[in-house]
Amino acid sequence: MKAFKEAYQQQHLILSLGLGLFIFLAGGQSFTSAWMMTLALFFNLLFSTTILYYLKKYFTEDNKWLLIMIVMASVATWFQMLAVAFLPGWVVGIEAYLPFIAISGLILARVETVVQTESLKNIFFHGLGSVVGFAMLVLPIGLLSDVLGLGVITFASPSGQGPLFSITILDVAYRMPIFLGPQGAIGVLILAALWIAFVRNLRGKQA
Amino acid sequence: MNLISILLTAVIGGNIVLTQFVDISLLRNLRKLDVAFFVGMFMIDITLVSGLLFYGLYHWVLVPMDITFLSFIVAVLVIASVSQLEWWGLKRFFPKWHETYGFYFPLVTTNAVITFVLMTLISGTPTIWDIIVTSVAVPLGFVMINLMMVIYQERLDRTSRIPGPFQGLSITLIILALIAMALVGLGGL
Repeated sequence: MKAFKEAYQQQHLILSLGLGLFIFLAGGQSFTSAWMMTLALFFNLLFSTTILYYLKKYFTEDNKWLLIMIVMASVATWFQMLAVAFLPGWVVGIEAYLPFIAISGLILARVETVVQTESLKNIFFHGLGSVVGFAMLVLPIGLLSDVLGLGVITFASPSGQGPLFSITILDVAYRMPIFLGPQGAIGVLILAALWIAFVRNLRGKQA
Repeated sequence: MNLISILLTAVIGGNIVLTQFVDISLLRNLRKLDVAFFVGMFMIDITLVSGLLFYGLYHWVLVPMDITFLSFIVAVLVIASVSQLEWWGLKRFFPKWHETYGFYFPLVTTNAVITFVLMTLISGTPTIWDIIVTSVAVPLGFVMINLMMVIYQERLDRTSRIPGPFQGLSITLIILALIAMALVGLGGL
């Protein structure tokens, strides 16, 4: 549990330093994307760290990063293929981003440190802690993006056949175009800035 | 697509840092103007060389052998190899630059902008000139945003009183959103 707590807390620290922002913002475009990105992060972290744990005896200073990158890229490609095949409804919009989890600074830094210092059990809890920390930051942003942009709280079905649920919150007149289409990035950037400031303020008060 | 329009789209209207968040985290780590410039130039160089290499590998090896699902792994390997070679070259021929900027090489090797360019090059059937212009224009867009961010950040650090929770990452994201808003207006170019 110590590993879980450590990873959970570090997740917030790393995001405040700006590592992993790419996957964080890409996931924050909608609630479904945020969920899918969290799932992808969990899968990638779990499998990459486990495989690398068994390969660590072959690590040398020269080949370490190459090995890490090959394993991470392979796992990311494998997950992308599985997701496209079995979860087509959830990958809409972020399919192209999924392999990029492999080269996210957030994960590379985490994988390298954890694999070399922790036991297999701690690696699992470390991964879980990272994913829960990530989810707590990205899911609210995804939810708010949906509410402010589309005016609905919606969650796609994994098969892609319509939403699992969809609750209309805002009337068309109040929906904001900066959360939609090519300008969607503007809204996500502003939302992420406000959310990170809110989390930092909350953590500051707790401390 | 017209080469000038590829250039303008990549640098202004469709800048991947602002529209797709690609490697937005790197913007926070390059805080000095000379470092941002050097890393930018190095990125352009690596993107161009790896772009040409990867395009050749994709069309002459991966497609004929029907193993295009390996393209991401191959792209990562090509970028890692090219940047490693250039790192050796820099160490051998420009030891002073290597001493000053060598620390930033891993950041370029794991750079999502380069991988993103390589992965987008394989869609469609671009000509050799499309590849060259895209490989230069996309990192150029990144460099432009990066240099702007360094300048803004320096000014903010010196002259502005930003509320505690907004300091650092939050204000960077707000500035990026404002730049994105300004550039969206130029998208019609």
